[in-house]
Amino acid sequence: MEILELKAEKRTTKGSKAARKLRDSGQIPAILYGHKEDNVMLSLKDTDFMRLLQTRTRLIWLAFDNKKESALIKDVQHDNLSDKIDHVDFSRIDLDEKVHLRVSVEVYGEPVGVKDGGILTHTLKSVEIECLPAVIPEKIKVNISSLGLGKSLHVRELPQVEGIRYLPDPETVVASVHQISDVIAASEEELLAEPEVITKKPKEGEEGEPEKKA
Amino acid sequence: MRLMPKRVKFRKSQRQKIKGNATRCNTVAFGDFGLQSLEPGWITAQQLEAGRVSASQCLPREGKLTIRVFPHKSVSSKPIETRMGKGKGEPEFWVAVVKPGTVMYEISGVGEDVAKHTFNRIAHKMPVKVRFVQRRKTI
Repeated sequence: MEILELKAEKRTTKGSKAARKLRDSGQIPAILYGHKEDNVMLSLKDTDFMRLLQTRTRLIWLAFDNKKESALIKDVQHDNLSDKIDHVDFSRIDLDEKVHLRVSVEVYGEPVGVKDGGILTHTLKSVEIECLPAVIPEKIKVNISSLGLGKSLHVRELPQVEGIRYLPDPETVVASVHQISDVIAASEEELLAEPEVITKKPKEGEEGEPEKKA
Repeated sequence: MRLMPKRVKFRKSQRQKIKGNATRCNTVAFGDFGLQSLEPGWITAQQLEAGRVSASQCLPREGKLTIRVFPHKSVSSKPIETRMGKGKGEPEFWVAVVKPGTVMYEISGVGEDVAKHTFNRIAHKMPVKVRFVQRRKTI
């Protein structure tokens, strides 16, 4: 497996103001941590990192200060309004050491249950796995064409790949096919009803809750 | 569907200002596609319901719509031709408060084209500017 290299620069400035300036100049603030060594604050060129993200690779060589370190892209923070990348976390790893990470679960095929009138619910969109960095899969693909009505696919039924261990409970549901439940229309009485006021004081003559004595 | 709370602490609420962007409910969490608000505003229960009805008319059977916001806030008003004073008016309708970035509707089980068409219909019922968003891929 070829490991891509990403160039980074060490940065000394920190804080939101400095990070904003960095982002305005076309860079992304990042951090490298792990293996009980000191954290290193970095800055990346955003175009380089975007190109790297498109390759869907997780394991990289991080080049800074005339040295290279193997690192895993641990987390990418986005601005949810502009979709720009705010910050990146890298974790130091050894190539012969197992890592924990989340990979997406993709389902394919039309389930038998859907043909019989059910609907498919894909609950677990990503799963946490343990594996060696060299065998990190891009995604886990599962064929669900044999899934009948009222049946579920569990983590234990995911394809077993050599060197990969699924970390969630084996009984966790990945996808299920179930009957469509009709939305019960609210009655007119219910639509006109006012919400119950829980702090309402009982009027004189009405029976309220007995007061608690201190 | 009854789009108002079952129990409240107080019947009438103060208007409040809507400050800042959404820091929660701002990513697609349940479906594959979402409709994200780009402006702050109040979405009334009627507008939310109108959005749901218009979506149900063009969503195929296997599509699932999730509404991520709920009208928790009551808005009161005074009857017309009433003199000022004599206390706050009675609650008229219920609204959901949305901030820029709030994902209001989500769809799963359909392709991108169908989701875009459905959200386009919902967007016409919304009093705020919205945009189409997709679930972010795991890194």
